[in-house]
Amino acid sequence: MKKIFLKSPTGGIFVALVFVCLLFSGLTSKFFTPMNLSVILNQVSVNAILAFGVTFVIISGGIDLSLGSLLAVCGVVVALLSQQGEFPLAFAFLLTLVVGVLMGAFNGFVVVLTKVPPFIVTLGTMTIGRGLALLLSNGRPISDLNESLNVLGNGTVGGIPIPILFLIGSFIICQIILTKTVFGRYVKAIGGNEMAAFVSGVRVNRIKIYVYMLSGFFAALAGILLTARINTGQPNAGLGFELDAIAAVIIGGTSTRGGKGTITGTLLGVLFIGVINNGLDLINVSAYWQQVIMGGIIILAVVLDLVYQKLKK
Amino acid sequence: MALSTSLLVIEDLSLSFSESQVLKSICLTLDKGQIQAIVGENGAGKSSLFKCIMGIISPSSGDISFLGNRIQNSSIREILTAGISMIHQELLLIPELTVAENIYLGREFSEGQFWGISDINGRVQQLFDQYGLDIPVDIPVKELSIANQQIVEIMRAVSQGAQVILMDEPTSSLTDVEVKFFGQLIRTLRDAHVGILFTSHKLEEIFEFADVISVLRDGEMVGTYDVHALNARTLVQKMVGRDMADFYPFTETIPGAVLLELENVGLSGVFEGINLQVRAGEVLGLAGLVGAGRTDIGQSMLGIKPHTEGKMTYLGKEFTPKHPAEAIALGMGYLGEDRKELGMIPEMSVGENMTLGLMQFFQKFQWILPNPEQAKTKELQTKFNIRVKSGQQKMEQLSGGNQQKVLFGRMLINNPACMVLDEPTRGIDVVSKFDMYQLIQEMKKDGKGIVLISSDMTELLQMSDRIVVISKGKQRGELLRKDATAERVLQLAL
Repeated sequence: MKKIFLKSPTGGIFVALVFVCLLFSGLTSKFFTPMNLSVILNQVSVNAILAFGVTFVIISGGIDLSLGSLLAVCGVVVALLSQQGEFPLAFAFLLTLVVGVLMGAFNGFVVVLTKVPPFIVTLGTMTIGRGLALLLSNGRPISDLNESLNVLGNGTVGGIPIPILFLIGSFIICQIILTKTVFGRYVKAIGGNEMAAFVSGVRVNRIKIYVYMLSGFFAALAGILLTARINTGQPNAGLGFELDAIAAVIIGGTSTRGGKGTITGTLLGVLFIGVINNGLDLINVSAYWQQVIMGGIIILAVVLDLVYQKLKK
Repeated sequence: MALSTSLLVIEDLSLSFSESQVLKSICLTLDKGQIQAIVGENGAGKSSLFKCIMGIISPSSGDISFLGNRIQNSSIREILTAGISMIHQELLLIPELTVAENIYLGREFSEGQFWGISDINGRVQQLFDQYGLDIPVDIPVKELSIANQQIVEIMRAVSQGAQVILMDEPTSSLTDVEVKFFGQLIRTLRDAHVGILFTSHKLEEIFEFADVISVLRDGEMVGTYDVHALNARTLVQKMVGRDMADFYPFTETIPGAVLLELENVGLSGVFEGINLQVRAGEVLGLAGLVGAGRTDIGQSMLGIKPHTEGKMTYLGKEFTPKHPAEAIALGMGYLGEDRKELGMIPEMSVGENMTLGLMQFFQKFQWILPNPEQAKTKELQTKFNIRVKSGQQKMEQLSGGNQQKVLFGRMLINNPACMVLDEPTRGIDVVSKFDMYQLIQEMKKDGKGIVLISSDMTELLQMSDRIVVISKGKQRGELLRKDATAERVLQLAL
């Protein structure tokens, strides 16, 4: 048992997740019910999709702080395109995803061409994106959306809420990209030793741009989902979401120095944050205290992971 | 009598980790004013021995005494204060601080003054004068060459009153000239009665510097010998446990067609006017001091640093690679000078490291084909006798020699016609070096063109068919194997 636990790269966070689940199950009977578990999954779906995308960026040794703003821009774009059902919904989605990918590509090109640290570049696009979202929406929420959009955010298929299906779909796709494709392999290689990858003939710049495009794609998907759920295009949506997503990735065991990380770990990190938020709600901890506790837990999780990594050696 | 001259006495020292015994009943004596080389293959236990002496790891049994006092249960700090210092392979200086500040680092307040010791520059200058060192004391350490940085670190140990200095491969990143100077410095230290223990993979240096040589093999002390009692062959024999007749294998071949030709090639500000030809079935050595531009010339052949002047022709076609991927696709191979920096991805598996950048052979669309990939990496592991537990083992867990073979294997997946080997044997053990030389010979017989860049003069002279000497970014001459001697090469290189 100990061996299996120590061998698994996500062992630490997995144990932590089981622990908090047991804790909340003990504290309140409302926690461990099918209904509540479905609520948790539904709540975390947007953060999960953002986190999957940014996992690639962090593994490649970069960072993307513009996620929340990209989400807002894409949320507004999809809302504008689906107002009063002017366009077919599929077209609106496609165009929104293209917008997300292009904004990701902008991040990627600037990082690659200027060699400015990604932290700074995406800090800039974070502000640019927020401005664009406000410009496009005139600073006001966009309502009167196509009704099918609402179904996407709040409907179910076979009893499963659609956002959860998106979460599962994104998880599978990202897992495959990271572990089964040459692109995924090279993302890890670049994060592990960029110079060695370059000298060996890996098209480092190209891969880096793709990585930011991927992150932009998932930010757009998350934006569509959020707009669908609240049935409004909110220019102020997604404030600080990038930090939740990055926290989940790091709690999930992805190294901030790049080179290693897993999508499963990120999923566990997302669930961990989601379970704690939900559990604290259920036992009536005030929202202010929740933030204090959350921050403490993030630090604790990373420290425990370090201890765990040492144990493994 | 022995008590008065012995600095460090190790008796019956053993060290084991869980199941494996790393050191077995080691006995060793270091006298005042003695330079002792500790030699052995990678994994023979040299670093573990040093770590035991420094108190970084505690031995399972045995005695270590310094000037008659047992020290094996002391902390690192106590051992440093007692007078034993270690110069690590990776230097531990703070680049932004000045030379003098680095030397006094952590001791600025040791004399109780509130503002720290006021005249550290003067004190360090005095120390440097005493040892005949010509290094400015008030410039940041980052402006010094690696060799001078190392000297600063040694002088830090000296200024702390070290009577024993351990040096782990002190010469591995020094040029020939710097090594000579290093030799002078440690002899001066010897004259000041300091005892020095050092490790090295370069046989010449071991014989040049050491008074006595201790040989370790598989954690056991084979013996301690007077330097005059051994020669290169007998030493290697003791290290490896068997006889290795021709350490530098060389086969005469008749060079074939020109594979790669450089005409007046230059890279602005780095090197210029390079004219050379690499033919099939020959080793072309590039000689020169470190920093002369050899590495840059090699890298421009791969498009790592694309050339800006002149013309390159490869296999009869004009060749202007702008990215290593282009050069590799056309059939060039490259083994970088520093495998940690330019070669390996430490966290990735051995297999993944081998196929890095070459996934085009193991993919369908973007999809990785695991079976052909594993088959190929297995084949190369067997071919090069790479000792790994499995292809899944992480690269960082391998010894230097095995890592180098993995990278060599990577280069061959592409079946390159021409390859650039930059310091292929740096920092690897004797057996792996020997394997590497045989590989180079095989490649040569196979009709490959090989550019060999090396700072190991003997290696370069013994392995090359022709040698082109580079100095300060310019080509200074070309020597055929039969005319090439260390003196002639150095004359051109300086």
